[in-house]
Amino acid sequence: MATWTKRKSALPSQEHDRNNKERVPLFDRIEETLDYVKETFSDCDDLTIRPVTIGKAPGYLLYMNVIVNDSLLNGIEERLSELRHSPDPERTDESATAQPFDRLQAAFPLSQATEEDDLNQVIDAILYGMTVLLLDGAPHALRFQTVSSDGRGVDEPVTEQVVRGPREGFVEQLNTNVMLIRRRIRSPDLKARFQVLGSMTRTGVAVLYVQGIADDAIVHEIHDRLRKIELESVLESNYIEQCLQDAKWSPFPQLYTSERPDRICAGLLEGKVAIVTEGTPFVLLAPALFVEFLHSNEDYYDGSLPSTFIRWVRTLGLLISCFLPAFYVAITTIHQDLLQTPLLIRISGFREDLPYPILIEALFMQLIFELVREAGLRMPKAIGNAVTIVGTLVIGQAAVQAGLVGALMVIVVAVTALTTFVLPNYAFMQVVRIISFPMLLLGGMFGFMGIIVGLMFVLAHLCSLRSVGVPYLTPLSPARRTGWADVFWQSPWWAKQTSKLKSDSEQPASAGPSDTRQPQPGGGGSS
Amino acid sequence: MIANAWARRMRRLASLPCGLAILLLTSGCWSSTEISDLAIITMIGIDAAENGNFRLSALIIRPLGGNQQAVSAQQSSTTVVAEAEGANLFDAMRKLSFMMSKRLYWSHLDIIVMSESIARSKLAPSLDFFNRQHQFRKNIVMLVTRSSAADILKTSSQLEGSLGAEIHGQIRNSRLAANTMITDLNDFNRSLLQATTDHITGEISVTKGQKLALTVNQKRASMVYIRGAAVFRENQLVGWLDREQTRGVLWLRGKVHGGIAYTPCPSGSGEGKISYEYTRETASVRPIFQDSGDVRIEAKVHVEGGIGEVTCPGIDLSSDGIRRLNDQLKQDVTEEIESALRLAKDELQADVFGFGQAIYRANPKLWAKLAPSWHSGGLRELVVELSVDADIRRSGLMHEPVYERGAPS
Repeated sequence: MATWTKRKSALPSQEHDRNNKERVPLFDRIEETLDYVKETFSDCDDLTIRPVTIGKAPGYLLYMNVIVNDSLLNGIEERLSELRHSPDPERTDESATAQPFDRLQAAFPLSQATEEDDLNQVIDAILYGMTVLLLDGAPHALRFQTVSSDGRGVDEPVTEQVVRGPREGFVEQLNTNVMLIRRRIRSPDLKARFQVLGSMTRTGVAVLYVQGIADDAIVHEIHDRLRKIELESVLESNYIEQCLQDAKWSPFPQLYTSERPDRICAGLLEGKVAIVTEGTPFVLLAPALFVEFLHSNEDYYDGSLPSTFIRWVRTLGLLISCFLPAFYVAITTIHQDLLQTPLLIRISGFREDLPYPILIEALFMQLIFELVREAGLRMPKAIGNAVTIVGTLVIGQAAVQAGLVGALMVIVVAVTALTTFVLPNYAFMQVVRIISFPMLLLGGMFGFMGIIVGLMFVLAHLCSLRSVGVPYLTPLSPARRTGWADVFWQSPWWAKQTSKLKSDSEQPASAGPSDTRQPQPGGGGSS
Repeated sequence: MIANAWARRMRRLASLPCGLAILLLTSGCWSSTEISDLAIITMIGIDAAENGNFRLSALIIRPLGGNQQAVSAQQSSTTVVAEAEGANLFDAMRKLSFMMSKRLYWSHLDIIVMSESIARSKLAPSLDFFNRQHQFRKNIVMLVTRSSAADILKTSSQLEGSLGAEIHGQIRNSRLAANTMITDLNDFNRSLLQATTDHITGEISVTKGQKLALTVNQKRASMVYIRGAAVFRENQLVGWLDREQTRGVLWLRGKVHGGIAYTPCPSGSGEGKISYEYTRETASVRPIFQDSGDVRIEAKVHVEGGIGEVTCPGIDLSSDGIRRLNDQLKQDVTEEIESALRLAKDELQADVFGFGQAIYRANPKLWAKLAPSWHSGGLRELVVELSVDADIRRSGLMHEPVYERGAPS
């Protein structure tokens, strides 16, 4: 696993069409070209073909009417009609066919029109929302930039709310998202490499990193892995995330996901690599560390003392949500001698005449909670509240009064449910909830010993995990003191020492030169 | 090939849940017990029955269901006292369980009440049972009663939810008032291994027939209370100490953290009493080894206290007067200690003061020589040089007695 990072391959170039068929040149006769395009787009009613004449030469304007920007298209058509009606000396010689194309090129600024002579690229261009002009006798097709950038406006993200901090969130457009990052890091060292993933969806993906801060091995590794991805479709960043994971079957999220540009920028400045995927506001950040899933972005905007406190509270929440049900079941079925006598009597009173064993009760309640949560999540907001109320009533009151479930169990499940919401990262929260189930079984069957064994399995797994070659538990294990200022306490900004992430295949000795923040010639392959 | 590898991999994957299922389902939850299937025993009483049998009584908590709307902590449980007789404790316990629909649960047992006859002759063999069974804790409080232990268990609690809680509350308070000293199972165990110290432990009794009275809901009620101490010599009850003598022992052990005492007014200050409140005490018991091979004990006690109540009209509370009061207090404490020494050391020959422990710590070889005859004359012959030092530091919120000026003295 560690050998990948040793391979220093050049960064992949902007391969726009690595999934594509071979190059198809334009046909000599425009009808043939048109037929080819028509055949490719057969049954695509949204393909518009409009005949135009430039000078005397017949031509066709091709575009997908649903994805082009109407005003841009209108502008181009206006210019074309101006061109057609402008006085043009009647010429019948051979050069007449070439001349209109020259005039065309002269009429449009370079940013609007580009030449293309590969037919497959022409088809791609149409699919991206460009308008293509085919002109009889012209050596190239002309692509006009009419890509519609309509979409949701930049809005406050729903998943990561902050009290203090920027309110901008990523949107579905790739360019907007990269823009949001660029606006925060105004440096040429911020590199952005675009590529296309998914043979069917042709999703644009941008890989961003700050050269000089990011470890070259990590950047290489990510490019390497992205290149190897063979997917038909990429509809969300999770498609990529799953392909980039080191341990394919691990439930733990090995890449950080965020909707917030400030969070992603913070990651970039710590030397991480961001992967922006078109069509989703969730941007990936690699490598991800275990401790980061307990951090909220707001920690860095609050004072050092409150955010340190909140982090410890979150850690407590993590422990509670993993272990509280298991602990409760274990202590009441196996280790009753550890309870205080008055508490034992209390619990015993609550449990008098209850029909089911406490383990079954716990599983039942946890399942009910999952049902209520899931029901509330998928419902429209207004109904969601109602579901929550019904769920609360069913669990809290009816079950206890009917004598099905002990009152203490309701408290335990409620506290557990509450603490899972303390965890700031949704993917991580899901894993924690799932882990609490095997823990519950182990605790109910083997008591504390079972819980400890389960915990050891989880810890061993966490220790073995790597996120893009970086140990998942950094800076706890391997212990890196410089990173502790961001884990056990939150140092104020003026006292912060930056600790750089290293792929663990990197030898400490060879880490020397890349420690400097100077851009290295040829180091990152930035051409 | 690929299909083969895939099948192999799936088979390996499938073996994990299968293995887990077998492991979990067949093993079951062997040591788990539902909490509602436990008969929680918090106190037991041991009485002597005929033919040298034991009569074991157990206080079992019967919790009220949570659904029955327990109004307050006092009503969260009711208690059941079950009694059974057996040739030994284990036998009695087995017979006890015949009556039960729930499993007897001993881990929360924290008080053992022994009747006097059990404490006199059968404590040492009983200790075997309590140490052999894993469910017993080691910090079980051992108490002795002059009446029947079962009667103590049958007394209902008045201020707390359970009798056990009530007794523990009294024990906590007795530490502050220096009434008695409580010894637990662990202490008795320790003296099985090394007989350097003998123990005293609290005597528990019912308020009925004493000068204490309790009325609950306009009805006369009785309550348990702890006073004085039972003296053990080599884990056998040999006698009783009253409250003052008990404090005499506590002085030497440095365990007086509170408590009160009173004396008549100093001469010339009229009729009445003056009460002291002890606040702090330090004690040192040091063996002095003489060249002749003899050993004597040098015991120093320093008492600090305050004035709690004064009913002497003409009392002199100037520094000279306080100095005289100090002398008085010193004399009182000395008397208490000497009374305890006379009874426990000379008469009962029980080393409840920890002299043997002090000698052993300072000179183990000498102790080995002294030990065999320690309880048969050695302790009695031991010379204890007692020096007490008293210091009254505070007089409460006021200084002079209230009626000094208008007193018709």
